[in-house]
Amino acid sequence: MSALLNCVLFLPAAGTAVILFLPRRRPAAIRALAVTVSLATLALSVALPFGFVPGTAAMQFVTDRSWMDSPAIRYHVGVDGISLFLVLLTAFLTVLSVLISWRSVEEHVKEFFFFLLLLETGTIGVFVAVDLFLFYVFWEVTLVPMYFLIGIWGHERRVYAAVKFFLFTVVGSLLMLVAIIWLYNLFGTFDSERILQALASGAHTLTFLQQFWLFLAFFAAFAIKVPLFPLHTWLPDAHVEAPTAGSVMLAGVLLKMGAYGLLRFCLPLFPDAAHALATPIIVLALVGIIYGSLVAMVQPDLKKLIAYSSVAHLGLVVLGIFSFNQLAVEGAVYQMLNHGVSTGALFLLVGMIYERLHSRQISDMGGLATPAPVLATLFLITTLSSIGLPLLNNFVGEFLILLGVQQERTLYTALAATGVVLSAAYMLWMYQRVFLGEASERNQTFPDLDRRERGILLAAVALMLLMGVRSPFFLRRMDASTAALLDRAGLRETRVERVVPSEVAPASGRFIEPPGRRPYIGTTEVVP
Amino acid sequence: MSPEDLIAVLPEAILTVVATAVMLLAAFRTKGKEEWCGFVTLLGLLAAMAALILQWPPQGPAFDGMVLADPFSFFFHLLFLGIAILIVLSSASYLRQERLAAGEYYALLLFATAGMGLMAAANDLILSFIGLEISSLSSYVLVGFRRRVAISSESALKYFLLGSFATAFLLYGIALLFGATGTTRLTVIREVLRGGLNPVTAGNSTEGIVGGSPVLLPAAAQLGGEVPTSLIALAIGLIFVGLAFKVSAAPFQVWTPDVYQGAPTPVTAFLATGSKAAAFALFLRVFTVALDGAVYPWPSLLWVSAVLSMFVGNLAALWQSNMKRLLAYSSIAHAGYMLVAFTANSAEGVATVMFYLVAYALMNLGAFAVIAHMGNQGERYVAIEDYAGLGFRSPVLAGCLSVCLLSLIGIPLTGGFLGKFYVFRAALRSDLLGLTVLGVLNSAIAAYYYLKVLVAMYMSEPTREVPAPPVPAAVACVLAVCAGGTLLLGIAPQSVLNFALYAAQWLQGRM
Repeated sequence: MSALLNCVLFLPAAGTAVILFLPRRRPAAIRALAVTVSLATLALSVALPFGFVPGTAAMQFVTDRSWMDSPAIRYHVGVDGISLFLVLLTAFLTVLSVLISWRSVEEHVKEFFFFLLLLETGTIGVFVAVDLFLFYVFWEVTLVPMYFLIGIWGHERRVYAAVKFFLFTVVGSLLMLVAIIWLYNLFGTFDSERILQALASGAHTLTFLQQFWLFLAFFAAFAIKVPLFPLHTWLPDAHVEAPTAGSVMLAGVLLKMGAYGLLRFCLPLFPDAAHALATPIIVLALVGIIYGSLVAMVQPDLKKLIAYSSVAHLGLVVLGIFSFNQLAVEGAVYQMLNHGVSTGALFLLVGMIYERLHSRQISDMGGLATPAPVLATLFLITTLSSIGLPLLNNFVGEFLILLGVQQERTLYTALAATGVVLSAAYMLWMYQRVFLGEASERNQTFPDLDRRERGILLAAVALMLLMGVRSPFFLRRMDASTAALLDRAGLRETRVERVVPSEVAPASGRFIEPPGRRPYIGTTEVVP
Repeated sequence: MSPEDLIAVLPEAILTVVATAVMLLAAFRTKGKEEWCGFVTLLGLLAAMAALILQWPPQGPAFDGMVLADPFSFFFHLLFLGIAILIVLSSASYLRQERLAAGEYYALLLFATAGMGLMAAANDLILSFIGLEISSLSSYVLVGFRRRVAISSESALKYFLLGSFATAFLLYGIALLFGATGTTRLTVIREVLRGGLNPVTAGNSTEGIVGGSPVLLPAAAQLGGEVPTSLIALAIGLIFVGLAFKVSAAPFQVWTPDVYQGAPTPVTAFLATGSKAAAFALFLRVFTVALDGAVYPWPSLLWVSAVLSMFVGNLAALWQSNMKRLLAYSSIAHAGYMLVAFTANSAEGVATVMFYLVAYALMNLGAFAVIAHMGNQGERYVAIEDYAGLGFRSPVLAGCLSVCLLSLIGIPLTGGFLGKFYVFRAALRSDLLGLTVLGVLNSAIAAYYYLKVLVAMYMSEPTREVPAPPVPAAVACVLAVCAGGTLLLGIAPQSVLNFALYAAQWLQGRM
């Protein structure tokens, strides 16, 4: 079983190795290889959720081997309910990225697909690494291909955007590196599972001050990546300047690495610090939601609009994570996936429009629905998904987050809900300006989607619909992991309600209290 | 002098003999002497390496304890010989292109390598000093080897003047240390400073100074056998100045950019990797063996120098537009990182410095090999903007340079990353949190200027025509070793690290 995960992880890397030896003069062969490898990776990763056993929080598909012995670094990978679908999402979006770049990338094809596949391995590695050192390695490995993708194939200000992206990320991740080494010196291992065991058994404890600084160091890396207001300034630049595939990967999966890191490491490793700092972080998240929405509203640049909407959406995810409520956390994980699919699709659509118009300015568009009805329809579905229409994916995630947060603090929900309302406003207004009205003379001949583009988007739309109506398939696999995570992070209250319509409820149904669940006893919070 | 003694210094002996032979060869052969000299030099280096490896396990003290063939010196010998081989390989085409006299060049290189070997193996400050002088004098000449080029002569003069000045400091420090302890033998100094041995009689001990003649030491004698602390402190300071100059650590780094820029590029590479490593070998041995940090708080001195080096190097590098100057400032910053590990004052810290030197040598030799190749005749193309578009004009060359640069930044899966990782780990182990955070900040600053080169190579359009001559086989070989070695060190560092750790523990156990 573990071989499956290793294949998913290293198949793209093997693909990069092959690409290196393909002749530069045969771009068709390189493209064919890239699409084959990414499709094979996707096919293998689709098998993951079917082999995955729900109802347990333990890592599955585990490989745990020694890599270096002094300091003890382990090649320890596995997936649980939180990372399972993120791996799938990465594989899915990589396929779309390869396909969307089929014709739009004509220069340096070899390098492009080399970096794209390298990025896939790096990102999947981040989601499956259990050992902190391994996690850091993959975390940094994603940085290099993304830097080149933006810098070489991006738009006018690509170099500025690429360097800014690199430096922002490096500052955060180096602080995380210090924290990782510090943890190693305390625990004698980089393995997060072993560290958690040591913490749970009381063999080691962290003082509040240690937790505080360690938390901040990890948080710096993740908050920049998410990005949390006010560390988001690299994001609009990077998204706008990146080539379409770069934007898709960046918005679709790289941002999720930040939120995932918060969930996977910040919460369970440093629960006291996480609780103590939850309020300021939630405030920042709320500011990000409202600020991101308002800024998105006034963007004249279509791509920038979507970039800012990402700030708002990810703010909602962070809010869900730091509410310490299982519903909200599960909603946050689900929302990470939704955002990947929906915003990824939006960037694909913008890229297609850009290929035709060579402009991203909304003022250059207008009335595109007449010449391009298929594009307009698919864009509409994606837009509706992004603003959280029921039956589509985002609704489930947003609803769970809002509901969960509401159980903790009504005020937060109220503020977060304004963000949701605002998102409907700016997205629909944008749609109106781009697709409705009279098409200008120039836009009369705007070509509609071709077969390849339709295929790409239909796949994305199908997934949105699937995730909207079959959410229990996904959520059921997250239950045990999120419950265990919150257990370690110190849940405020235990909820045993069934809110999401479940498929046939398994014997160990949702929200059944796992044994050993204890109320949160922190050093800084009073249990209500 | 017994045969065993000679065997202990066999590598140096081989290098010296071969150096002389190369000079004679250059004088007497008329046709194809460049190729012959290079070939013989290479053979000599390989023979020295074989002589070294066949000695394993190292036999320990030789020449009455003046030379110490231990794992520590073994490690450094291997490093120096490896560096020298790579330098020779990347020099051949450079010498031909610049029409420089190959015989003298190779001979000087061999002498410098022999001197460096003595620096690593010396257990006596006098021998250390001789080794240092042999390698320094050779490198002064090598720096000015392009004698028709003004900038090369200028940098040679600068290096010579400042270098002699720094060496004088070192010598003065040695003299004071001798005055205080009555010996120049490192292991004996240690005993004296720990109070296990009377400084007045230290000179008489069997392991004492050369010749073993009893010396009356005024300073110590007046204090009735007590070691005068102020004298030691002054000696530490002076020795530190001399060695900090050699490793180009701030505030004694001023010479570095000018000399690195003016020297022939392969010589720059040699200075940045070989000389630095040799100076660090001496630094480590003198400070951890003789001047035990537990007795004398020199780590605080290193702390200041480490922070200064990192900041000066990285901040100044941000503004550079010349590749050689850029790497010169980067070399100052990297000396700073190594000093961070050294400040940790532990076996782990020593091993980290050793590992870092290997990683640093690989990535720097690779980078300088590309610079030497790209420079073309008269080193005309050494500006960062000359690298514009290189990524797609010569993808393999640019790929190798990229690996080296990413390693210099400290991206995982490269030797540079693990080097930095071990540095920070050693520092945190010794509770140097402030220093670690400053080091980390500096790594982030440094990323910017290495990225500038990557930006030029992959994201800029060339502004002027830069010729792209085919890469000679020898240079290709160097690049493969450097890029491959950098990656290998990033993925499987264990054997190098373990050996460094073993040598470091041996060094400390020997104390």
